[in-house]
Amino acid sequence: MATDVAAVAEAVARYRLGLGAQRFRGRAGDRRGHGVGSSQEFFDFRDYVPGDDLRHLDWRGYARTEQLRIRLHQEEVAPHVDVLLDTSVSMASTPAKEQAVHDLVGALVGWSERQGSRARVLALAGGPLDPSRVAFDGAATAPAVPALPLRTGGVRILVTDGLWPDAAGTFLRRVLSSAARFFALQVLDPWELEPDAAGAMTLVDCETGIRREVHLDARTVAAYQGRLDRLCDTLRTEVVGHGGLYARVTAAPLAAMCEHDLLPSGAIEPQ
Amino acid sequence: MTFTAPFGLLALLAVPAVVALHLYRRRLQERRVAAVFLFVGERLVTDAGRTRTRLLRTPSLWLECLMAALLALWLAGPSFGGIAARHVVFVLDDSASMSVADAEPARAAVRERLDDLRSQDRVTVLRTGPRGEILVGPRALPSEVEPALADWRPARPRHDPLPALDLARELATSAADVVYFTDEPTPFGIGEIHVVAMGEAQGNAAILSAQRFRRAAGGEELRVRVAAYGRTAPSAITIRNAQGAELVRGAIQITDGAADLTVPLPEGTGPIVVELPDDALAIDNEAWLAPEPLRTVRVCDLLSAESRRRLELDRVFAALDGHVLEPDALTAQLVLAERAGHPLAGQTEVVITAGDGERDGWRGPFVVDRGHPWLVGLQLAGVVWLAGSAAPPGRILAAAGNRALMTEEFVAAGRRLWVNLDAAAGNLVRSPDWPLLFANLLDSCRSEVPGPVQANVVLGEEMRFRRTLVAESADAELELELPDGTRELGRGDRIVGWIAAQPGLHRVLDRDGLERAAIAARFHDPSESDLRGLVTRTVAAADDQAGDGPLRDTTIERRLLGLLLLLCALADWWVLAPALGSTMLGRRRQ
Repeated sequence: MATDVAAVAEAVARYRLGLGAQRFRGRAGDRRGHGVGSSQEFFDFRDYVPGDDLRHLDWRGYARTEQLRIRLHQEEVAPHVDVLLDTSVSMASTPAKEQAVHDLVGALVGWSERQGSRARVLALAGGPLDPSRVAFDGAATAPAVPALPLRTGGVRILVTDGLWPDAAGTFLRRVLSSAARFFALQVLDPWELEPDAAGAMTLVDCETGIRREVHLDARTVAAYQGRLDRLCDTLRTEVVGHGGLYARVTAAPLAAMCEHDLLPSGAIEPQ
Repeated sequence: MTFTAPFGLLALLAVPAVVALHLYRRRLQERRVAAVFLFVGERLVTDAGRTRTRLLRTPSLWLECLMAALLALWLAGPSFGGIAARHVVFVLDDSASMSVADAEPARAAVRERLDDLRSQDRVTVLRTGPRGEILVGPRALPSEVEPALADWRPARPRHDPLPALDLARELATSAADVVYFTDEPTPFGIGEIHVVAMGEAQGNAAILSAQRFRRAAGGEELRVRVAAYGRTAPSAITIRNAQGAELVRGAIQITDGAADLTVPLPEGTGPIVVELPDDALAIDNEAWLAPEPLRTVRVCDLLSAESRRRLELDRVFAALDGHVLEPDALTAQLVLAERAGHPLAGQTEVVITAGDGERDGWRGPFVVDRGHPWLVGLQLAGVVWLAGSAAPPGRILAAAGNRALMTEEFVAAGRRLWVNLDAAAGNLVRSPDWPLLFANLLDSCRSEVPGPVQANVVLGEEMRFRRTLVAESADAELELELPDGTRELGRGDRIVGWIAAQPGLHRVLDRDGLERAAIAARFHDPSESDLRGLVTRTVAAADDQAGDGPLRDTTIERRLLGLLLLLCALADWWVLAPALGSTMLGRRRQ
C-alpha cells in the first residue's frame, strides 16, 4: 500500500509539528538548542581569554568597568526526529488502518523535513525503514525498542496501535527517556474503536492466529470497549506522566486525522 | 487382496461419519482483528447449534477420510499376496505300538487334520526315530500325503521322539503348527505343540525271545519265551518254515505272565517263523529265525611236504574242526607258508621258518603274550624250542631271552604270524601248545569268513554281511531283498550293512541274483508290546496362535498401513495445527 502523496503534501503545507518551547539537540536550525551558539539571541557573558574572537567583546561593558568580557549567544538547532513505528501485523489489520499509518508516517517525515530536521523512521525491535516502503509483518506481540540507539535531546514519535496484551511500561519509559519531546500516536481502526454488533463471528487475531468464536452483541461490544478504553488510558497515563504527548488517532484520511485528532491534541500546529 | 479380519471393514463406516462431521461443521464469518484478547470473557458461540452446510473439499476432509479408510484396512488385516500357505508339520510316532489295528487310528487322525487344511497349504510329515525322518515333503501339498500315509508301517522299538520334534519345530513356521500323533502320554518338554494321542489300553501277548541253538547231538533247539500283558492268554504257538509249512503246533500255558517253550529242530531246518494267535499288536506275534551259518575257515597250506611232516600239521588239523583246505590262497582265510607272501585283507598268514643262520635251542623261560587271541592258553611248559638267530619283524608275541620266537606283523589289510621255529629239533610240535596255537588261529580267522555276521537281528539293528573282497567276484555287489519284496542295494567295503526296518526274512543276493544268506529280523521291545499304558488324548499347543484358521502373515501390510496412517495423521495435524493451536492458546489465555 502506497502513501497518499497529495494528502501528505497538503497536510505538510498546512500543519507543523507542535514542538513547544523545549530545547533540543540537533543540527543547526531555528529552534533553541541546549548550548552556546551563533544566534542573535543573547545568552550570557564570560571573561575574555586570549584567543577569543574580539568581535564578541562587550565593548560597552569594557567602557564602564574596564573589564574584558565576551558576549555569548544561544545555540539554534533543528531537532533530531525519530519516528518509532510499530510494524506489527495488527497495524495493518484493516486496509484503512494500514493506509492511515502510511499517510501518517509520511506526514511526520514531511513535517520534520520542513522544519529542517532529518527524520529517521525506526521499526520497533528493528532498524531504520524507508518511509515509502513500510511493511507490517512483525511477529512480535510485545513492543521493544529499536535495534539502533535513539538520539538524545530530540523528538521521538511513537506510532502504534498500542494493542499489547501485556503491560508496556518498561518499554515506554525507555523510549521516553532522554527525549526532548515525545509523541505517542495510537492509531486505531474505527471498527476497533466501535465494533459492529454483528452477531456470531469468528475473530482471528492477525498476529497470533488465535481464533475465537464470539457473539458480538451490544453487551459484548460494550465490554470490549471498556477494556479498550482501559488499555488506551494506561498508555496515555504512562506517556503523559513522563512528559509526553498522547493522541488517539482514528484511522481515516490524513486530513481528517489531522483535523480531528492530531490538531486538538497539540501534536501539530497550524503553519 | 484378502483380509484376516473382514469384520474390520466395518470401520469403513467412519468415512461417512467424517463426511457428516464436515457437513455439520460450524463455520462462522471470520474477521481479522488486532486484539482478540480484548474479547476475553465474552459469551462464546457454543450453544448456537449446528446446521448442515455446503461440504467443503478441504485437505482436512480428504485426509480424514483417507485415515478412516486406512484404519478400516488395518483392522481388517489385508494380505496383498493372497492367503499365505499354512505349513503344518505332522510328526508320526513310529514306535511299534502305533501299529495297533494296522495303524488305522493314527491314519484317521492325520486325515482328519488334513481335511482341515486348504488345498494350497503345505504339509511335512515326519516320523520319529533316532533321527527325525521326513516321510512327505518338506512343504508338500496335502494331496501328496495319502500315498505315504498308506505305506507307513510303524515298527520301531521305543525311542525318543524329541529329535523328530526338534526337526519339526525347525521346519514349521511356529511350534503351534506341529502336530504330534502318538499313543502315549505327552512326553516332557513338548508343551508348545499339538499332541494327538489315539492309543487304547488293552491286553497283548508277545514273543519276547526266540533263539536257535545247535545241539551237540546234531540238529538245533528252538527256545521261545512268550509274555502276556493284561487280560490275554495265548493258548497255542505255531512254527512254520519259510515255505509256510507248519512244522510244530503246540499249546502253551502262561504262568506269571510268561511261558517258555523248547522245540527241537531237525538238522538242516532252514528259516522258520514262530507265530502266536492274532491279538492287538501283530508285529510281536511273529518271530523269524534263520539258521546260523557254519563259518568254515578255508586254510591254504603252502608248506613243503617235508616241513608239513616235521610240523605234524596233518595231525594238528585232523584234531580241529571248522576248517577246510583250500588250494587257492586268494580265497583262504588262513595261509601257512615258509616264506612271507602277500596276505589279503582279513587274511592271516603264518610263516614258519628259522631263517638261514645258526640255531639255538631254548628251554625257557618263555615270555608269552597270553592276552593275544592267538596265544590264549599257551603254556610252553617243558618245551624245547629250536630257533634261528635272525629276529623276525613285527611285534613280539613270544620270546626266550633276547630271542623273538613269535611276532605279529601287520601287512596291508592282513596280518602275519612269524614263527621262528626249526622243527628238525625240539619238541614244540609234539607239545599240547602246538594244536592250541592253530585252534586259536582258526577261531581268529572264523570271524573273517564271508557271510552274514549275524543271521538273526532285532528291528533297528544292522544286518551285516562280510564279503570276499576278491575282485570281480559275484558278491562285489550285494542287494538285500526285504520281506515285502523290495530290494535295497548294499553299501560298504569289506562289510555291507542294512538297517533292519521290517520284521521278516531278508535275503542277501549277489550280482547274479543268487542268495548268499538269509537274515531274519524280528521285533523285540517288551515296553512296546505292553499296551496297557496307551492313552487317547488331545493336547492343544500352549501357544495356539494359528488356531484352526489359515495362517496369514500380514505384518508387512499392517506396518505399511500403519505408516501411511501416521503420515496422514501428521499431514492432517499440519493442516489443522494453526487453527487448533490458536484455539487452544486462546482457551488457555481465557
